[in-house]
Amino acid sequence: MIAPFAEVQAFTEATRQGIGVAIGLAFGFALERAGLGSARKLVGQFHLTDLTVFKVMFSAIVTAMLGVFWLGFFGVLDLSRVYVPETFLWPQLVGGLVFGVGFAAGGLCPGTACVAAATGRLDGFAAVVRVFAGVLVAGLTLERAPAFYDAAARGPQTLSEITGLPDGVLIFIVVGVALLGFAVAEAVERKAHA
Amino acid sequence: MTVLRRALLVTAASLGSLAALVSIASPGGRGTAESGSKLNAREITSIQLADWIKDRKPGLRILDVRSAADFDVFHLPGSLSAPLGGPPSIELGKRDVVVVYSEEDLDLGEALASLRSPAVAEAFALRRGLNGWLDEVMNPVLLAGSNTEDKAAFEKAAELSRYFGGVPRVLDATESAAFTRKKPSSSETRRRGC
Repeated sequence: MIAPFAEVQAFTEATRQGIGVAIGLAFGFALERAGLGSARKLVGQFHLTDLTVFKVMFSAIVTAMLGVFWLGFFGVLDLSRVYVPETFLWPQLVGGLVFGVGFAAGGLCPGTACVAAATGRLDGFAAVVRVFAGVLVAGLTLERAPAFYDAAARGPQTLSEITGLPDGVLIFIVVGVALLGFAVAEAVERKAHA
Repeated sequence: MTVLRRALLVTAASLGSLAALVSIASPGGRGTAESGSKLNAREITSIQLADWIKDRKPGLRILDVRSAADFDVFHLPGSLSAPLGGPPSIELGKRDVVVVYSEEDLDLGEALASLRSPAVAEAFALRRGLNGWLDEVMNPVLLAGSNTEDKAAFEKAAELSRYFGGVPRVLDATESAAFTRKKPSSSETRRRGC
């Protein structure tokens, strides 16, 4: 049988939900163990004193890219069944900006806010409330502005399609950038703590 | 730097380099879309389009030229709303392969003129539009007494149908005699995301 198992109906709905919960718990546990439940640690990213977030996120990206590519190459994963979210350029750029401002100001992103709340941090609870408030406001307002909501719709797009480069070459470039980024991050942290 | 971290870095660099080599050595994979600028207007069948969606054909852009309200009720997976005569909100690139569809057959030239887009690699109209999709992909039927060629075509359609959540049916002699294709209405169909 070939993955993704949920797409090929290998599991019942209850099993799929159970696996989702298990993966969510594991993800939260990993974030907590990496120290990302602490807003102080996350804000260190913006002060260039602690680049753990950068290193954790880039590690995850590189691991996922290499995993998906090689699983697809060896026929374990059917890439045509892996969902690629649609691109809506302008709304997503604005959304990214809002996300970044909220992250820098509050010190937590939605995932780490849940982790912080689960470990009893009050700032985590406050961030979770803000996340749901933002989702509610976006849900109530965005559909009333369809010209913006659907602006610059590009469909499911990948870097390969935009650049015309093969997937493997792009992966090589991203891995190279990540390794260079790790070296720079370590140097920045050493300098900050010197 | 610990031995473990050094080993992980070397592993990532090695797998990234191998990914590039494998992609270059096996051209034709994802991300190798042919570029072009000459408009080539044709029709495609729903089965062909279903194949393209499933295989994530590079540059594929599916445009629904019905009203936004009809689009909201039901649309093809991965399609974008581009109502005829409406303001152009979708940016098309010269490497895009565009498929436009309506409820039934449509005038491809008129639809493309409405999009006011620069030349794309290729453009197609979906034969029989959304109704063709509902008949051929979502509800394919094999009548009793069908020949080998029809059976082979049904097997292919049935596989695609199950992928998109459709219901292929093999009818017995009595059902076949009574079968007349009810003209499906998009408003009767459950909205389905990709």
